[in-house]
Amino acid sequence: MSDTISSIFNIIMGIVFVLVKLVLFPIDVLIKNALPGLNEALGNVGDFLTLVGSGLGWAISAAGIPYSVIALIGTYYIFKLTLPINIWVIKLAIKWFRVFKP
Amino acid sequence: MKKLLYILPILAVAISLFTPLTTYAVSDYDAVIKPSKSTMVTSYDWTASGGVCATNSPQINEVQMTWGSMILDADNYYGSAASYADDVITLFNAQLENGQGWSVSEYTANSPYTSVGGCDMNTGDHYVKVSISDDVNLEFTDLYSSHQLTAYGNGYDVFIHYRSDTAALAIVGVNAYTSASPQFIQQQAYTNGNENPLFINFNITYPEEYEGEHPPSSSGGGTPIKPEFEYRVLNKQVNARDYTQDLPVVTPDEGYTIQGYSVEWQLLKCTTYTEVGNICNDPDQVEYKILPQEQEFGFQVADYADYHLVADYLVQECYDYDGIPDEDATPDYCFYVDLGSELPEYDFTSSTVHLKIDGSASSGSTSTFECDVSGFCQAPQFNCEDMLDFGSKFNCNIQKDFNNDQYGLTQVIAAPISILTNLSNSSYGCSPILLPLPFVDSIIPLPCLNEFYEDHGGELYSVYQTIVSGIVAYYVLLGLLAMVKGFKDPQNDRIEALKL
Repeated sequence: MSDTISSIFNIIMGIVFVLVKLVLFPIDVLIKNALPGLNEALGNVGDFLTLVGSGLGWAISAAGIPYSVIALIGTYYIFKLTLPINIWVIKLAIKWFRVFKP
Repeated sequence: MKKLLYILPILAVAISLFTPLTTYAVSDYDAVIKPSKSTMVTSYDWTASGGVCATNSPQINEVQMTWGSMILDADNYYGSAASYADDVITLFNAQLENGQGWSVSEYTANSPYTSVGGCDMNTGDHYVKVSISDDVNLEFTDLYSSHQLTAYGNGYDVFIHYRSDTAALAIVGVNAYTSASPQFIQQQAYTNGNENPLFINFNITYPEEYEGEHPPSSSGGGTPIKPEFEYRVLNKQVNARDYTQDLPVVTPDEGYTIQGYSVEWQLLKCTTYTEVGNICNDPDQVEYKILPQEQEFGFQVADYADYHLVADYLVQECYDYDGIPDEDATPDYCFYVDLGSELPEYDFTSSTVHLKIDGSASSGSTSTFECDVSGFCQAPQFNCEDMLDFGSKFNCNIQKDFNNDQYGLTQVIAAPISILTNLSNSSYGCSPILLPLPFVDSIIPLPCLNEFYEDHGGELYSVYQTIVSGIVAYYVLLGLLAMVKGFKDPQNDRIEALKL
């Protein structure tokens, strides 16, 4: 169940990532070509966030929090945030079932 | 929930304060292992005169050392052809990687030693010579022709290299008795149909009454020990620090003291690459330091390039004068212990990481890398196909395709998305952090603390984890309950699902 939820979450995040990329593409091109300084600054912000993210594991370790707890929190929020989509999919399936029901 | 964020760090600090700091394991072998003596190594600066090696070249160094430290300098070779020199250097580097330095013999005043040596006709570089005592025979097999050769140890001066994993040996030398030309061994090799005096299947036969060094210990099968270090590259600055604990204890000889473990750091610059695979080949040494284990290695390279950072363990043993001057004793009588002989139950190997110094910042730790038998460590290759579920593969492939071309606002937004994704996959394992300190130009390594807690926290840590797990589980259940109640809320969109 947890893997399924996680898989759905990953698909959603992947789609979000693609959408972000597509929506921001013209703006990114503009920034890259017209404002190289800003592009570099944004890159540094991204690097900083990546650095923070890389320290997240250390922070969890330093706090002595077991990884099972992190997994529990992650799974809970994934379940909570993907629930509307899950329900929507179930509704769609039932709707199709009723349409094609002999 | 906010209170929990305050409570957790406080509890973590409390645990660290109320637990013992460190304990070092003591091996059962500590009481029985006797350290070996080192080898007298003499370096000469040879010059070729008229195509003949001079016999009165100035001595540039004479120190006590073991093989491991003796052949560190890749220039310490004797050869007449570049290809041969490359072979020797390759084997020498392998010796460094294996960390299995050992002594052939100890030079003593009684040795029938006359000073001759070898020279490199091509480069005029110096080489290292080792004297072997009387009646020690070296038996070896020609690497290429598999022909058995025996060099009778009547004061032989040799280059020698032993590679423990393949039992490969490189040996070059001259007959000290006869003051023969440096080509002596080479001629012997030529006689046996080989141009390259590299040998394998090394054996040393000692007379029964021989009181010199003990034969080289067989290696392999022991507990592998290699430096575990973390590094950080900031522009051209490279810093690294070994963080291994609980290293086996080396018992010193009577009257000697052990100086503790040192780390032999080498920074090698890749200058040439193999045609096949584009692998760094025969890198040049740009920095070499032997530092106490707890001391940080730091060096600023001159050029952007690919580098190899190599770390190896050394243990120095010194004679303890107790502060009393002794005219007969050699001052500063220190040498590096042959760890392969001293602790045969362990296999000391080096650790090597590849650094791409291109002006960007990077860091890593050998603990999170995958290391091969030779000790070469690299970050595990991330493969989306290794991920378990379809969603993870899907997301991974998308991010992999797009990550290589990120700029503008996307690179800012992509970072937290990656963090969220990784968090959902519970793939956030801890890796040590190197914290650069401003103004003092230093870096503080912050190791992962969960292992420390587990080792020293005992039951208190288990209780703490149980409490944390319980609190989190309680709030998760509350959230689930609220979610279920929300289904009955007419104002909630999800109520539609229940009406189906």
